Amino acid sequence: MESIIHNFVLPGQVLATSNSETDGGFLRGHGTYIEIVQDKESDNRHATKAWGNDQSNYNVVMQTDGDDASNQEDDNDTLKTGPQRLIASLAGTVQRVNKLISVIPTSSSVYTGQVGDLIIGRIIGVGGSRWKVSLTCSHNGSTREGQLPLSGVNLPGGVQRIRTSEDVLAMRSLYKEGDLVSCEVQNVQRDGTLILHTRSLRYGKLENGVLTTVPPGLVGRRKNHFCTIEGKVFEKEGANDMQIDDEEGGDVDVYLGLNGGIWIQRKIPSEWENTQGMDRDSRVPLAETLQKLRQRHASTRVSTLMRERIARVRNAVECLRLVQYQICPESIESVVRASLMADVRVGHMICPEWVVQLTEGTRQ
Amino acid sequence: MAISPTEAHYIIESSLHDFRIDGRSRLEHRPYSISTKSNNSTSSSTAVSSSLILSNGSSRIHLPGSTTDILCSVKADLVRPSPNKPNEGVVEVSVDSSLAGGLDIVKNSNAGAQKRQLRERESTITSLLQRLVVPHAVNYKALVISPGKYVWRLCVDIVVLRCDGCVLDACAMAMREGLRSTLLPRVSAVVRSDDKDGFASQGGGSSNNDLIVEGDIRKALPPSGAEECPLVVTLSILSAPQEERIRHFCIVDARTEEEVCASSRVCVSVDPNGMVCGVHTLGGGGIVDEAMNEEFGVEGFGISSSMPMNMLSEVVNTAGGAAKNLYQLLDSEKFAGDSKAEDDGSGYGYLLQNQLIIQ
Repeated sequence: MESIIHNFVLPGQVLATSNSETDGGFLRGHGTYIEIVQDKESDNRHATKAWGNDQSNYNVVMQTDGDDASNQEDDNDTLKTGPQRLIASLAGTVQRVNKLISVIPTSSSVYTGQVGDLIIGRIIGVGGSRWKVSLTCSHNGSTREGQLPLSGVNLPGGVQRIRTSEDVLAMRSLYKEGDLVSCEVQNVQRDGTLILHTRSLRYGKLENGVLTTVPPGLVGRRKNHFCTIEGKVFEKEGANDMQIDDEEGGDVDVYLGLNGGIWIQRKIPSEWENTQGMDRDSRVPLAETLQKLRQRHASTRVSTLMRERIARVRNAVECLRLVQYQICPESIESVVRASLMADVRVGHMICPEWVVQLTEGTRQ
Repeated sequence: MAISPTEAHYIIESSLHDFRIDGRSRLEHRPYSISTKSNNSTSSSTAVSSSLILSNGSSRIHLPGSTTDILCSVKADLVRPSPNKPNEGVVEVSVDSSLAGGLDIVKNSNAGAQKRQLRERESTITSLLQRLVVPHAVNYKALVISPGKYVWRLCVDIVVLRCDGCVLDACAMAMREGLRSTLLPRVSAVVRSDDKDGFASQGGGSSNNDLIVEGDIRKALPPSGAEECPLVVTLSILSAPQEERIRHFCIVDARTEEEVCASSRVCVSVDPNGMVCGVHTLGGGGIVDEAMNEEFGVEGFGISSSMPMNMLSEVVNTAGGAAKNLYQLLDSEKFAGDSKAEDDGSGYGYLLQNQLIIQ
């Protein structure tokens, strides 16, 4: 803990200085920039040339634009010889490898993928035997794209074969523009482009549920990103749960996408699996069973009680987002419990007064 | 924004059950909060400095989590009235939503097209505000200082920083609260008995001495009639099949994803007395009239782009009811906000002040 605090820097903080004699005291790494410390005299000269009435003592290298050749030379000279300062441009911890100093951000507002991450993305384009997947599912803000190649999906029926040109033509029958998919990062290319795949049976199109988005930093990496919030969490303590039969009050599934997309839907009831299990005896492959289950889930209407639960979970996530707290099943559950204890209407959960009260137990 | 059909289906069905995806009922608004920085509130005389610099009145409409964040500034100046309306003041509105996301300049290849779309959106909001709100915003007659010579011009500038659905409603709220918080210094024209002098000043405009401005800010008053400024309620009309026939119902204050599902939208401006000041329908498509369909025997063919009269009246009635609730919500919110957030008008910071301790 001590070392983390000591190594923590804020943007603009000076990490290192080197004077002209000991040239090359450090190397600039990620998350930093170099500033040249200039003596008063040359500063005045520069200031009048470059910015007019700028009074600062320091001249940022990137911004110095000399208008004639001699000035340019001067700049280059100072770049080589002048005393320099290395300044952090991110909030994070300092990492040092010999001369190389870099800052590793604590949580980036932009999602940078790692292999194996669960992503909830939206298809924004089909073509070139690949789907373009938007990684920022929210409607405002910049779009970042990943690519889901045709070879990265399971064909309907779970058959394994080389993709043909017919498959390319039938791509829209799998995923259309606007569809939400859960997928996994298969590969991160050198330029940061993400190659996705949905080849596990867990991944695929998301239907009959609600998407909400949070800053990617709030979703931490954990063992399992497919979480379930059990039905008993929603039941009030002391209330007789006789009225609620199993069909009505089920569990709620929460998929925590590492890109900040969070998908909430009902958990597929176990009875369905049992009825589908009948087919398993007749040697239908598992893929097909799951597909049938999914189809049934998509076409079956969600009950009102379930809708209330889903909305409650959604608003619990929203509450956590408002107080910038890590979103994990435990924290969601705790907010849901608090909301039930306080007997809040679901619609009122995102009122600021309630947000503070409901997340109180979680934040401590 | 495109959403998948299955999401739309879920949203519509949820609304049908009167339980929307965020738990609201159909005619419930989100918890908007207003910081008007009003300097006419009697409790805080120090608030004068907290109004937006160089503006006579300002307001900020804010939703928790900054999903909607709109600033409004009202700047007043004295102008010569237009010759055909010498006895009326002027209110001008401009909306800027260039900061409101949806524009990815860095990477996107068709940034030009997006910019055009943005301009279009801005001009739509502006023209709708001008039609629905501006004619009823203030008492124009009371903005006159000297008929034919000097009238107040109120320039209302609205900046949409972020908006999650129902941008027109939020802009109207910002405008109303901005106008209500505006303070106009008391200015009186010196009426000279000399007829010739008056004529000269009218023609040349070089009249230096015919205005007396009351310097005391405490005697400044909001423009008369600003309390009557209408709000806009946008109803999104969703249609869902129920019991083998299509049912229409409306929701207020839709989120962006709910707005996308709507087959048609109706903007109704309602003033605090419950009077409807204007109606506008947005989005051409989507109302399938059952009776017409039965008559022609064709399912949703051709006729779906218009709205039956009885339905419109029903919608407007609903809007009237929703507007009443909205007025109550805003007034209570403002009251609460004034008492609590006196020192920092910046959203909900005060609520978390004592709760978050950096450890």
